[in-house]
Amino acid sequence: MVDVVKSFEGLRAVDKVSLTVKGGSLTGLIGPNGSGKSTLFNVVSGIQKADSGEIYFLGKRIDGLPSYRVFGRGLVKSFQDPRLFLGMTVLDNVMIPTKNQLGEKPYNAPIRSVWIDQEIDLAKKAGQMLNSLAMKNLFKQSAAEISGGQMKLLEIGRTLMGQPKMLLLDEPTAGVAPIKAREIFEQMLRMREESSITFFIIEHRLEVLFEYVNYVYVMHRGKILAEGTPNEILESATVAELYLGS
Amino acid sequence: MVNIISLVITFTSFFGIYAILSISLNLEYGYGGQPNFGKVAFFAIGAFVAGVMASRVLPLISGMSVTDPLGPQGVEIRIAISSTRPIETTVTFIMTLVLAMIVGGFSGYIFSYPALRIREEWFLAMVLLVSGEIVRIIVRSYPPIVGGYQGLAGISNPFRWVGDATKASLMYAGLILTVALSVYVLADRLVNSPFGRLLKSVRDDPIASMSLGKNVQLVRAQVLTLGSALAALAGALYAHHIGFITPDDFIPIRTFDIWVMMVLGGMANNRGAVVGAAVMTAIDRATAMMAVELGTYSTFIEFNYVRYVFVGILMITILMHRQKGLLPERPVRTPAYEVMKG
Repeated sequence: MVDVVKSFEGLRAVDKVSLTVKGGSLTGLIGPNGSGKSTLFNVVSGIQKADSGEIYFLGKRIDGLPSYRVFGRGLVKSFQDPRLFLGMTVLDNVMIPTKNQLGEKPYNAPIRSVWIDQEIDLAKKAGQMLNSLAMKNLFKQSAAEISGGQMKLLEIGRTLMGQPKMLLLDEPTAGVAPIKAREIFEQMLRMREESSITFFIIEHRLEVLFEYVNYVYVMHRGKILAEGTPNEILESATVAELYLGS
Repeated sequence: MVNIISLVITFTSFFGIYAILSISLNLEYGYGGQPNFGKVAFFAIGAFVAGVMASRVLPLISGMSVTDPLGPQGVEIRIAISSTRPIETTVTFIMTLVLAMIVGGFSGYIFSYPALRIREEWFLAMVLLVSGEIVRIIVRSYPPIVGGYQGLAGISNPFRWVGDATKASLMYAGLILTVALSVYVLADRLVNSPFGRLLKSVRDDPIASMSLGKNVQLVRAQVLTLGSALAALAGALYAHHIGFITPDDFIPIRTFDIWVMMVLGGMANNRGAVVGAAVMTAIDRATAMMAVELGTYSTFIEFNYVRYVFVGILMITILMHRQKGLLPERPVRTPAYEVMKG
């Protein structure tokens, strides 16, 4: 992205941010609360429109596209606070993101024979996903009735069902037990190996994040303050002084 | 003395029409989360289409010329055609139902278009409420459509040609019920499919749905078009049942009635929508009958208005003690659940 700006009532939440996320990498984005990280993710994923600047994904410009079209290009975002469909079951939540579902067309929906085979294949994939999240036995349960940690896992699992090329994860381990946090990152590493998914991750648990990511951007007051490998960031005096406070 | 056959005919006909309305609102709001506060407009559009078709197209395809389609001559001619020409009457009636759905669906899309781009659903509700009143006021003030405030008479029962009035009414009540059943089956198939899942995702969290690749604006337009087409179908059936339409039949309180049916029966449950329609029809018919019966004894109670008291009490009771309605929401049923069990 190049010189991306996003303001709210005069306050520049994202101020001329330029950065590149390398394909197939695990890249971290850190910074104090209110530094503009989540706004940046919202702008990249099309949930909010950038005031100015250019955003490219796999060589094509995506700024200005609505979020469903950004998703269609393979760039998928998970939310900081899980935004599950609470009136639906765990299984239905996982089945929603798959692209090109024939039965989603209102003219196909009443004719089961058109979409039933695709639905069965999709259910099998959803079952595998829920199994990997240790939530298969909860498939019939309402998404409103599962624990906070399970909601977080379901949110991540749901984004993966969209077969993303790049995942924007906003605090994927918030509210999750420390051991689970490492499991989530291990899972990301596996997915990167298997499917070459690129991960761009906002995370406050720096001890976990720095263990796994290749590169880190530090954001402060809407700007990129520093960037580098985890070691370079840890050794950066500017970051230590302005962000880490020591 | 109450005539049982006439009671059955009236109850069945109104129940069928109300069930279609309730199911259509349930699709829009119960499943899709789109608050249509202008529901009556689409019901009215269906009735107006029926009026235009009966007064202009029926004489035209019967090869009869009418100089005054909205006046007494027009009424006489269309009643004469309906009584003697089954083919022309049936063809016009089928065309009426199809055209009502097309015009209703198109209007649903056009009226909601300005509001669909706004993320706040209640803005859509206000736009549709106002649109409904605009439609009614225009038709009321412009007589060439269906006679303005004086309305239009002689929209015959499509089975009038059988001769016996009771038999014709029974046949039409049966037809209305069959159409309502078909709408129920269609709605049930729609919601128990990936489309139903999509509707619920838009209802529960449109931003999350959009970020997961769903074109929320398109889905909202689709469900409002579909719901409006079904409401217009109900309106056309209603016009042929009552035989007379006036724009004053389609005041905003009718929208409230449809909401009561849906909330009472249970949102996002088609069976609930049908149960709600049955309860409302029972209240409607019982109070209408009492109004006639008690009217003969010159009581000081006007039962036509007692209906509103009943409905109000019922609504408050439901909202206090059974917020999910008589039949609560059910999950989307697709073969995916069988796969997971196996």
